[in-house]
Amino acid sequence: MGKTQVKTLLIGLDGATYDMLDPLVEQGIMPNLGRIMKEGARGILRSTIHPLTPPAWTTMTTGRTPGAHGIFDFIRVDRDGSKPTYTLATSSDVMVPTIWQIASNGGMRATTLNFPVTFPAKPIEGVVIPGYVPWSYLGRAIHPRPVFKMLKEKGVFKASEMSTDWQHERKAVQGLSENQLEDWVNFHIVRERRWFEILMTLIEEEPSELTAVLFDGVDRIQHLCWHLIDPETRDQYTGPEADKTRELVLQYYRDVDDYVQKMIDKAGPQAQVMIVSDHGFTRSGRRIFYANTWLEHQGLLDWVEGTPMDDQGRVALDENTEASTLINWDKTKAYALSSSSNAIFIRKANAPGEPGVPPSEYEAFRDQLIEDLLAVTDPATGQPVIKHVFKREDAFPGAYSDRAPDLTLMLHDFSFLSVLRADQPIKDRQVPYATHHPDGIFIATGPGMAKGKTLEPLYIADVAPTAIYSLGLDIPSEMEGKLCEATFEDSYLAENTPRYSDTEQASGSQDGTVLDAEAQAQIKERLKSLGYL
Amino acid sequence: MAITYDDAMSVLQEIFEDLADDLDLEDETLDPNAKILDLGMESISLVYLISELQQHYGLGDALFRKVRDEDRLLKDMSVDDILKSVVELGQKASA
Repeated sequence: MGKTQVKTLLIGLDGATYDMLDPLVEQGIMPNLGRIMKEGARGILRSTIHPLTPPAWTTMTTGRTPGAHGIFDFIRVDRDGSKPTYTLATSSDVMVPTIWQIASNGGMRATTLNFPVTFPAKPIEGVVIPGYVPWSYLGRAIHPRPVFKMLKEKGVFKASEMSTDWQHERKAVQGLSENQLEDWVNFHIVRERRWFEILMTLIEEEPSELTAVLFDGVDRIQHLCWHLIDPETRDQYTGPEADKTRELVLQYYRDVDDYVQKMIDKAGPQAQVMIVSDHGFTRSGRRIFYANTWLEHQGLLDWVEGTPMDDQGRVALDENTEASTLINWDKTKAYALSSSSNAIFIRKANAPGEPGVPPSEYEAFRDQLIEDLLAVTDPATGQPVIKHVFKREDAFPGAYSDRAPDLTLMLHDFSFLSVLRADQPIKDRQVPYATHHPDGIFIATGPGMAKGKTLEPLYIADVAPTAIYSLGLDIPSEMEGKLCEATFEDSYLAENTPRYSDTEQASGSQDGTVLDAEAQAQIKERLKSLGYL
Repeated sequence: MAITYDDAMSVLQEIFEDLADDLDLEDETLDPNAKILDLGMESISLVYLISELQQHYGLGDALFRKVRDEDRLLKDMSVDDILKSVVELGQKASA
């Protein structure tokens, strides 16, 4: 390779929040991150309306909102057939170019490791190792093929230690018993080490101007172990198992802190660095909202005969079985398919006599459903359960808004709903759990970047144009995100005037859907009203 | 551009050769009658295989949709079933 140097290093810490990082810095667990935050710039990074990994990272890496890029969940729901079904969302569902494509089309190399919805790899000049790929397919998923062989020869590629086991994950993120948590944390300690070693190898062997890696163990560990390290709850959990798991969790954060510094050192003194998360985190409430059970009680959903009642406080099936197989579609008008999306879909009748809601009744039906959802209270506390119900066109305006769910719920405790059948719509959670919060992190350091500065909150879409500017490329004017000029020193901005381009330099998976100027203006107004612009 | 059965077979063969290489398995010539799931893949990996075929031939999500519309399960499909579906979708796209 030539003398390509890293210009922009993007380090993703899935689910990282200052609520956790600041205490860990104070305790001396993350000294490097503490110094970086003190010496560089930091601010809150506001996530997508529903703060979930696939739409949030895709927004961050495209500069576009979900309605514009087309990703709303881990799955893509297909409502055109005789009954709703879904498949895993893939890169072909991302309808706009990513920062890696933009960099590649701008004549630079890009490396992206472990980001969601990047499989199959879209051809770029550089390296793609997609995230969320099962072990038996991960090697094949690497672009370009010779990089896989090189990583394997160097002994840093271990598919079984780096990949995603969907069934394992699905079961684990619902909660594990105390004696299973240790294995869960150990798995992620090893996993992050693998991704770190691969990144270090690639900077050496296949350097790219834009280099990005995602450590997603932060999210996975916080979901299940937050209670062990949260200053407000940790003293409630004592005993040998809890103490051992807690120490492992702290070791995980020590490792990440060490990797962050080593990656920055490896990238070189010329590199501008952004450390970001797709959303924040917070502790969940003690109760679970069984959305489909609530819909059943409203007379809007029916189960397939024999569908078992959940008595374990689960939010989804453990197996790789679709929740859609539990629902009697002949008698269902509204349903939730995934816990992750916190979404409710309304089944539209395509013709007279077909099951679902006739198009002429849709608006009234949806308005009533929103009213009823907002009125749900927990019988144990009398408190409301649902904080906001977002309509599709309000939450996700854009060319691909029709792919979004009809309604997206934000629960008062930010937790995820359950899609399972239960004897009551609201039941106790059985293990401590933490959940996503809209406020993530944005930290910047490096030459030309602001020093010792607290930034006003950024919107997650702002990261893409900020990264493109850091690379010295034209910022596509189509991006809804804005360059965060405050991240940079005034002198740097003066010497490097931001440039904008009206034409995107690469296409995503566009199907020709184009919005006219009026529609774009309406979308910007909606985004502004939501506080994003 | 129409997709021929032989072309689709060669693409699938290449994918499986890579997978065999990745997993340190012996290369085998694909038997059209073999079930995909019996060729050493996890069931979830079938989704990734289909995604890759769709991308290779620019089929969008047509292959997934076809499987859904026919109410079939990927785990029950043979190499021949997959190849014939790809060829059929290619013909529709070029019609």
